[in-house]
Amino acid sequence: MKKSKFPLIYVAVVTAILYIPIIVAVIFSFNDSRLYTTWGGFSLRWYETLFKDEDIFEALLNSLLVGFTSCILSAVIATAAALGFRKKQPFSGIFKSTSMIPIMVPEIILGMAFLVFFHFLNLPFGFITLVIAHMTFCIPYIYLQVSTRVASLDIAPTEAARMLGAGPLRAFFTITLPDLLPSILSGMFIAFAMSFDDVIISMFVVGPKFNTLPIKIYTQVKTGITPEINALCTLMLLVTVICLGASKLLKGRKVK
Amino acid sequence: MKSKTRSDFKKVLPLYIFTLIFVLVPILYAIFLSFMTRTNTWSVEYVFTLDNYRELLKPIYLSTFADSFKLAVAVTFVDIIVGYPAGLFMARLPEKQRNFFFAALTFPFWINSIVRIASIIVLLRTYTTILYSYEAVVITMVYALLPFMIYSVYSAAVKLDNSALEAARMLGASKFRAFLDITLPLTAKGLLSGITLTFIPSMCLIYISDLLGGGKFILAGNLIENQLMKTHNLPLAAAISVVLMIFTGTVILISNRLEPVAKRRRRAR
Amino acid sequence: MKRILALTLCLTFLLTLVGCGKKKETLTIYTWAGMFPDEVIDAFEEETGIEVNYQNFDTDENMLMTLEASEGSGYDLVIADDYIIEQVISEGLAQELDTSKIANYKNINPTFQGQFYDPDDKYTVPYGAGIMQIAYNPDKVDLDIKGYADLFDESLEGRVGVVGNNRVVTGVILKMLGYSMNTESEKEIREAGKKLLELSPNINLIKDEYLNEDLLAGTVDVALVYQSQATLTAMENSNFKFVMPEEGLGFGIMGMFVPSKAENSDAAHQFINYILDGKTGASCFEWMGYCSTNSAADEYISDDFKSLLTLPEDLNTENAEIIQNIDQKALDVHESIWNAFVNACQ
Repeated sequence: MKKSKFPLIYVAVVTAILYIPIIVAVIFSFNDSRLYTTWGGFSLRWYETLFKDEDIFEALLNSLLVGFTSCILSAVIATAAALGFRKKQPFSGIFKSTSMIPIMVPEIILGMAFLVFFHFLNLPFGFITLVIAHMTFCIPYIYLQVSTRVASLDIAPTEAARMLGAGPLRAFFTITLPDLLPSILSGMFIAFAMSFDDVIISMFVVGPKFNTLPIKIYTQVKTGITPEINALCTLMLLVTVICLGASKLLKGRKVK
Repeated sequence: MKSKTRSDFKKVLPLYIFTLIFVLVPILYAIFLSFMTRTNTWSVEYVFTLDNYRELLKPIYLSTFADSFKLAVAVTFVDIIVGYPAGLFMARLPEKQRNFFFAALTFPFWINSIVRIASIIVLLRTYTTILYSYEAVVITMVYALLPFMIYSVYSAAVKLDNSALEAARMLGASKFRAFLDITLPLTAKGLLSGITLTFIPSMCLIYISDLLGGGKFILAGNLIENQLMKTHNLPLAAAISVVLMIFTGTVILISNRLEPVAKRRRRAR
Repeated sequence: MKRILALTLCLTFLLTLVGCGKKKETLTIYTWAGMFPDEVIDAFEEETGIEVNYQNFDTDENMLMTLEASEGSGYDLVIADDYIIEQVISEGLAQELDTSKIANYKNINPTFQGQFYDPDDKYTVPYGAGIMQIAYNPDKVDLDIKGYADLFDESLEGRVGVVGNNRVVTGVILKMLGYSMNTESEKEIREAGKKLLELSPNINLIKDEYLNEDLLAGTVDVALVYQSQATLTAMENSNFKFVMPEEGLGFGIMGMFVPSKAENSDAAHQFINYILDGKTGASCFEWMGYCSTNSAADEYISDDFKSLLTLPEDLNTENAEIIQNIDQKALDVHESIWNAFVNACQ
C-alpha cells in the first residue's frame, strides 16, 4: 500500500498556523516603531524599555513565587492523597470528584466564587488568595498524573523495606518517592504552566499591591502598547528553549 | 492493620480539608448568594429571593445567553473540522514525527496566551478588516482552543489498533465505511472530550471577546464579569454562575453518557 | 522533630520572601494607567525618599469595588472621576484633607472647585478636566461633523467608535435630545435608548481605553472620545479634526482623594502638594493631555498645547454638564438600554 503524504502535510500546516502569532510577536519585539502597523527598522529599544520596567519584573517575580508556592504545596497534598486512596477511604467518591471541579468548570465561575468567598472571610487580596486559588487547580493536575503512576506501583519493595525495619518515612523517601518523582514532576510542570498563564481566576483574586504577570500583560494589551511585552515573551521563549535543550542534553548523557 | 488504615486516612486528610474549605464551601456560598437580595452597593442583604433568577429570564439576558451559545457552537464546529483530522492524522504518523508534532503543539503553551492573542490583533488589524467583528472573535477562539481538540482526538486515536482497520479494508469495506464503522466509534471518546474542552471555554474566555470583539460581543462569562465589576450586583453574578455551572454539568454528563452509547453501537455490529 | 524544624525553615524562608521590600516608606497611588510622566514620579521619589507604588484600575466602578472591599485601606491616594468620588465620599471611604499641609493649595483654579461631588472642597483636589469630543479623519470622512447628530449619518456605517462608559454615551444622546445627562425620568432615558439603537449600525467599536490607537490605525474613522484620547490622536497625526459638539458638552473632572484608611496619608498630602506646583502640574497636564485645573500651571504649558489644554473661554456652563450619580431605578433603566444597544451593535 502506498502511503500518502497528505496526513503529514496537513498536520504540519495546522501546526505551522498555530505558530504564526508567536513568530509575529518575536519579529515585532525588534520593531523600532511603536505602532505595530508599520515596520520602523530593527531595534533593541523595547528590550531596553523592558529592562528598565520594574513593574513588569515585580509582576514576573510575583508570578514565579505564586506558581512555585502553589505547585509545591499542591504536590504534597496531591501525592499524599494519591497514596492514601490506594486503600478505601470514607467519602472518597465525593472528595475525589469535588477536588476535580476546579479543572472542569469554567474559570470565571471559580474566580467569582473565590472573590465573594474571600471577601466574606475578609482575607487580604494578594499573595495568599492567589496561592489558594491556584492550588485548587494545581492539585487536580498533579493528582491525575500521580494517581495513574500509583495505580501501577509495586508495593512489594516498600513492604519488604518496612519488614526489614525501615521507618515509614524512610521507606517513603528511599523507595516510593523516587518511583513517583517523574509523575509528580510532570504534574507540577503542567500545574506551573497553568498557574503561570492564568488570567481569569487571578483577575478576581489579585490584590492592590500584588499583580501577576498575565494580569499586567492583559492591562498593557488593553491599552494597545505591546512591543515591550513582545520583548519579554521573546526572552521567555529563549529561556524555555534553553531549559528544554539542556534537559534533553542531560537525559541523552545519562543514557550513554 | 487498623492503625495502617488510619495512617492512610491521614494521607488523604489534607486533600479533604483543602477541598472542603476552598472548593466546596466557596461554590456553596456562591449558590447561597444567588438566592439573596442585592443592595445598592457591593454588599448583600441576607433575605431569600428568587428575583435574581427571574431577572435572568428577561429577554436581554436570554438573548445574550443564546448568542454566547451560538458562538460556542460555531467555535466547536470549526475546531472539530480542523482538529479532528489533525488528531487522527497525527496518530498515524511514524513515531518520531508523531512525537515531534506532539512537542510542537505543547510548546506554544509556554508563551503567554494574552501575548499570542495580541499578535493576532496585530495580524488582523494589518492584513484584514475584520478586527472587532464576530469572525475575529471566532477565529481567535478557534486558535486558542484548537490544541485541546487535537490532543483529545490524538490521544484516543493513537491507541487505535490499525489491524482492525486494515482487516475491514481488506474485506472490501470502502474507506468511508471503515471510518464510520471503526475509526469514528473508537475515537468518539477523544472527540467528545475535545468538544467539552472547546465548547465550555468558548462561553467563558472573556478576554478574547473583550480584546477582539470591540466591546460588542458579550459572552456568558462577560455577563458575570460585568455584574461583578461594573454593576456590583453580586447575587445576580452568582445566579448567572449557577446557571452556567448547571449548563457545564449537563454538557459533561451528556458527553459521558454518549460515550458508552458509541461503544455499544460498535459492539452491536 | 526534624520534620518540624524543616517545616519551620521552609515557612520562614517563604515569609521572608513575601515580606521583603516592605521596609521603605511607600506611597500607593491607585488610578488609571498613564496619569503621570515617569520623570514626575521619579523626581518626587528622589526629593522625598518615598517610594511610589503605582497601581492601576480599568474603570471607576472597579476602583469603587476595590475600595469597598478593602473598606478604604490599601491605597494612599486615588485619582478618579467626579461622579464616583461623590459615591466614595458618601460611603465614608475618603478622609478630609488637611489643607495646612498643602502649601500649593491656592494654585487650584476656582472654576473646578465647589462642584457637586465635593461642594465644600473638603475631600478632593482636582487633577485635570476633560471634554467629550468627536474626533475624525477628514481624509476618510466626507462629512463636516458638527455635533452628535452627524454620528448617525448613513455614510458612517460600521466606522464609528464610542467610549465604553454607558452613562457618557447615553448622556450624549440625552443632550442631543435636549434633556439633562442626569435625568432620572424613565421616559426620557428610554427615549434616548431608542435613539441609541438607531446609532448601532454605525458602531464598530465600544472601548474605554486608547480609542486613539484605533483612530490612528484606521479601525474606526470617527469616534466619540475623551479629551485625553483626542490629545493623543492629535500628537500622532495632525491631520485629524476635533469637534466640540454643538448640542452641548459632556464634561468631567478628575479628583485626587485620600482613602479613609490610607496607611500613609502624610505622603499622600506631600504628593498632592508636589503635583499642585505650577511647573510640575504643567508637565503632568501636557503629558496626559487633560485641561489644566491649576492656575499656576497654565503659564508653563507650552503654546503648542495651550488651546487644547485650557478650557475654551466662551465656555457656556449651562451648555456643559458633568455626569452625576442618579438613583438606582434610573441606573437600572440605563443598564437595560445599554445592553440592548450593545446587542444591536453585533
